[in-house]
Amino acid sequence: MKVQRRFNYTGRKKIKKSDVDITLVEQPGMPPRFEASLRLSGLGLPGDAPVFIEAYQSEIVERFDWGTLENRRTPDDTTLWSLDDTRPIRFRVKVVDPADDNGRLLAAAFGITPRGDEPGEEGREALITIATKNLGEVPYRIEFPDGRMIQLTVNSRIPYAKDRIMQEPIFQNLLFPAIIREAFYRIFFWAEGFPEGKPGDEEGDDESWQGRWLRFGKMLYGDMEYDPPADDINAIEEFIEKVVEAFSRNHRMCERLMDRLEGTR
Amino acid sequence: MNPIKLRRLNRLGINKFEEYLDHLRNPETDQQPPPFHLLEDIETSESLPWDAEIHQKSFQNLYELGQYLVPVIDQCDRRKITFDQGFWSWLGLFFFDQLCPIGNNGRRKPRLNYYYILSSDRRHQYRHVVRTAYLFVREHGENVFFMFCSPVHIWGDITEQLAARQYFLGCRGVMEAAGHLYFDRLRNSPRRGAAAKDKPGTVRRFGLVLKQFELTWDIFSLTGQKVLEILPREFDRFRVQEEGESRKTRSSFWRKFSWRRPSEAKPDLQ
Repeated sequence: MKVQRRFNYTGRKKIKKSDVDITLVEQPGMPPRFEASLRLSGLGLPGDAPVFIEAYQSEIVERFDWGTLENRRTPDDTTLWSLDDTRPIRFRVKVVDPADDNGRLLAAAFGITPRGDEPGEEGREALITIATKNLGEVPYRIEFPDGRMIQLTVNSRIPYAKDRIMQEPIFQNLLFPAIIREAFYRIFFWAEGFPEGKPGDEEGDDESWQGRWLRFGKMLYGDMEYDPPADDINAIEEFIEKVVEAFSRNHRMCERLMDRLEGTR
Repeated sequence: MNPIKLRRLNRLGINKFEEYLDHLRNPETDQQPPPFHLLEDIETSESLPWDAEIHQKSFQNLYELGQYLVPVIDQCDRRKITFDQGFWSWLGLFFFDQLCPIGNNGRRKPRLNYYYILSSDRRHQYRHVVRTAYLFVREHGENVFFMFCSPVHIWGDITEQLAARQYFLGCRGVMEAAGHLYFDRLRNSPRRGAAAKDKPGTVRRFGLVLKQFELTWDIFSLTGQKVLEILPREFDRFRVQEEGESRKTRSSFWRKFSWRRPSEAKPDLQ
């Protein structure tokens, strides 16, 4: 059995995520800025230790000098110029040894999600869950295990399958259009349809997975009022294809796929 | 050629530049000269509020290009231009003859568009040759000569590995240490084997090891000397003992006439 051990040779202290509040603030015509509230008083570290907040996405980092533990100072401008605001932004907080050229971390918190961006929080609706299971020779399957959520089940024989789905553009860009198509075909053509009528109907169940997906589809289609006529197969298929096209366009799926393929050649 | 004022390509100008790049990639068609007229055509470009002027000069390497651009571009408002796709794409076109020269077969062979046209995807922006050369030379001066000492049209693996970690731009000590490790001052070029794959102590490993260090060190605060101190033993083969000493001389000499005291062995942090 492989045992993973972690060492903390330098005695770095952990800043609890609950002691850090970060909120992204939209700015018209500009990238978002952020506001941060830090509770670092109980760390027992030198008051002149510098504090930094870093916003990051993979290899892109924007760093902000937050003064010292004793004398915290919010920068005038916390606009995230270098980051892509269409992708998740994470933060880390660092307290650094004040000794010259040392650079040792005295305390840190990594992977902080800004408020309102956490999965399942208000303002965001999860549309799919990901699970792994041995599927023999089938790479993946779209399932509806409890009728409440679509589940993408990836074959557990694929190493790091879940991580790859979450991070790899090749997997995502090939899979996602197919998932969207299958979800909407299920909604419109399967006997179960909506659990209790259509969303918007008096008896409609807007919080069903079908309701959430249809809202998502209408948003991409560009008309929240539009319902394709139930007896017009062509109109339904056209709706589904437009949703797939809009989703692919918004995420530049083909371009990203080509870039990735170019990078692995 | 007389100097011209810096401008930016507008959407139409960028589209036409993209069309030209696509056209170059088509093996069936005769290649046309670069559409330099887009640079000053008011239909395809826009003026900038600064008086910066630029000359068409020939550069030995990307470092020279970066050096030349620093005082020119610094006349502009840096915040406004850093992510301006039109601005950098204009420069990509301005220097296109050097960025994508005509090959021995009489044809140009362009790389992906984002080497010349600044990508709107932040993850690819480091591949804009002109912009990355300018940003790194501006921040790190001679310490990054080893990254940009190749001819202007070559984007080497050392450049790719270090520039891809875009936050290294703000890590003075890290870049100083990288220059110390991977630049052979005697040969005035990167050390042999610095860009090798799957070998200890190479540029690839440098990036990965520093990533591990981020849990313990604030790499933005580290000095170059400190980075060299904390790097594990696998980097010894690139560590320079004395200024101007080439690795070949050093390694052959020390292999014969040195031994490692057990007490001097550095802990391997991997």
